[in-house]
Amino acid sequence: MNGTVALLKKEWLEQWRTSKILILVLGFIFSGLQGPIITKLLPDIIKSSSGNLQGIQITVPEQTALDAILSYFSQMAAFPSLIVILVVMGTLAGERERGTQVFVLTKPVSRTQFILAKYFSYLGIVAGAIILTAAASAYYTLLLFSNSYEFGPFLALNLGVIAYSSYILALVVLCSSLFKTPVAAGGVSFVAFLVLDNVIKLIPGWAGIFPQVVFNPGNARRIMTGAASPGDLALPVIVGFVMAALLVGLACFNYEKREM
Amino acid sequence: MSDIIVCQGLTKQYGLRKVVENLDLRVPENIVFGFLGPNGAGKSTTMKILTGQIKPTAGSAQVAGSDVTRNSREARQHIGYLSEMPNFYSWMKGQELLEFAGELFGLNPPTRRARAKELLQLVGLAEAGQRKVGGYSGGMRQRLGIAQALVNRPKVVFLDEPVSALDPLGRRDVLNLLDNIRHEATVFMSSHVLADVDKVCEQVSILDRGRVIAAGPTAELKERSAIPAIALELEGSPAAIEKLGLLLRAESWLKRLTVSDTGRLKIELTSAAVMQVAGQRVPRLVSDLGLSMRVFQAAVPDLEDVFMQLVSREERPAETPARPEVKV
Repeated sequence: MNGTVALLKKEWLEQWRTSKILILVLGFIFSGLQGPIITKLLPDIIKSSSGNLQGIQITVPEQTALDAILSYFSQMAAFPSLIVILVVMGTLAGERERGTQVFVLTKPVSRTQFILAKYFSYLGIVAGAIILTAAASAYYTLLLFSNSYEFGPFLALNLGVIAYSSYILALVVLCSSLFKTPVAAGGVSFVAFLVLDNVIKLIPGWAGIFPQVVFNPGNARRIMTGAASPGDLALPVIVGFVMAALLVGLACFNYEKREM
Repeated sequence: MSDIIVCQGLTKQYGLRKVVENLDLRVPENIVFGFLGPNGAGKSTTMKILTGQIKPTAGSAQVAGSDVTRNSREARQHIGYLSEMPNFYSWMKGQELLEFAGELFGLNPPTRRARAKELLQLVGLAEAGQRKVGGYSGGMRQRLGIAQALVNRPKVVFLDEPVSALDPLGRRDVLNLLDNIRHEATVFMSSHVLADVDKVCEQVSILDRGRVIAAGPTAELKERSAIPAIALELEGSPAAIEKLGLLLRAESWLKRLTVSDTGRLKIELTSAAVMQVAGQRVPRLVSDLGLSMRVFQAAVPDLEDVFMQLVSREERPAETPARPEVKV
């Protein structure tokens, strides 16, 4: 237990000192805030660009707070995952490459503790970044749009974003445990991320049970407008966390067997 | 004195290649033990097994009473380890790194803070303790590595090439340090600097191609394995030198005599024990024959001689293909 706490503290200190916390938080906020801001500016952007399209009239419906929120969820799908891959890909592979893990793993701590400390420290930061991004997006939406939206469904959808990020994070940690260099781990994580996302979309019925469901504008709209219950997200959220647990478990299993 | 490290039939195999082969080893408590061998002999692999970093293919190993092959975590509670090329978190300060190491061993905050300061002082890094490790030189990192290996007051300290990155002064300091900590812990060190091993290690084990080819107390090993010799340089008639050669060959303590044209003789003795007898007899024979001595050196072999003799005696695999025999 002592070892786990020490490792968690070390991970947070490392991520603070090497600016990884800042990169993750700013990257997430930058992505999320694009939702309300672009939604607000969209009519003006289209109006200014339609001057060149003589004889064609484009009608843009009035943008609402709901549109801004749906846009926020769309923005949280891809770019934050790429930031997670770039920041986390070296978490184990980098330590192995530099030789720093020998210093820790010859002390009385297990490799599972070593991996769990890394995973949960990053999960804490990613969850914190999502909460900050959601708060900032919610604030800007209220600031930029006259109408309001339901907070309950908004929070439930954000829980889905956290569940999704937890398993993307676990996927990167697993890849980092499998490969010798951060670049290889990052490359394979990226490919695995694309494959997983697309395979889930292709198999009928699967899209609804994975946490990616929150990024689909149609599903998000149904939950935000009350056409579907936020409780419908329970299964995708659970599946997200279960997948994360499986992937981290695999990473631990692999690392326990691996030679330093 | 009980044994703190016991290995029995330890074997590590990668594919068909045996890196460590059926290694038996016993290291008594509170000594500095030298683990020697040429590159690729299996020293680092053995150390990795003994520190729980890798598992052996066969055999068992006990360190400080714990079976490292079954429960390495328990064994790691009692050991300290410095790898051959130590690398630490560059963003940490020296003091922080040692405190972190202490925390991993479960030391409470005041204890680990005090221990970190004490160790920085001990390895001569007191002033650099508040600097980031990323800015340390190779020698400073090596010293920090020794400090972190001692943070838990271990029963056994494994040091893989602990003086390789140090300058002569640093080496001397570290060797003094190792000499001092033998009262608290057993030091198990590998080194290519045989003169250093000779200075501090009471016992050594020489490994070659994964097998122990010699082991025992350093002094005994030198006596047992090495050939003591006397180097002579004489002035006088060639006939008298030839006569001296004949007389020396009649002595029971002579193992081999090499005579050069320039009046140089190398008298190899049967053992170091006969050095005194030979040391008295040779000058008398030289004097009786009317020769004068310019050089008379009794050369007791060092560990390097033993090492060279044992390792070169073992048949080494050809690194380049043998030349085809040419028949004329």
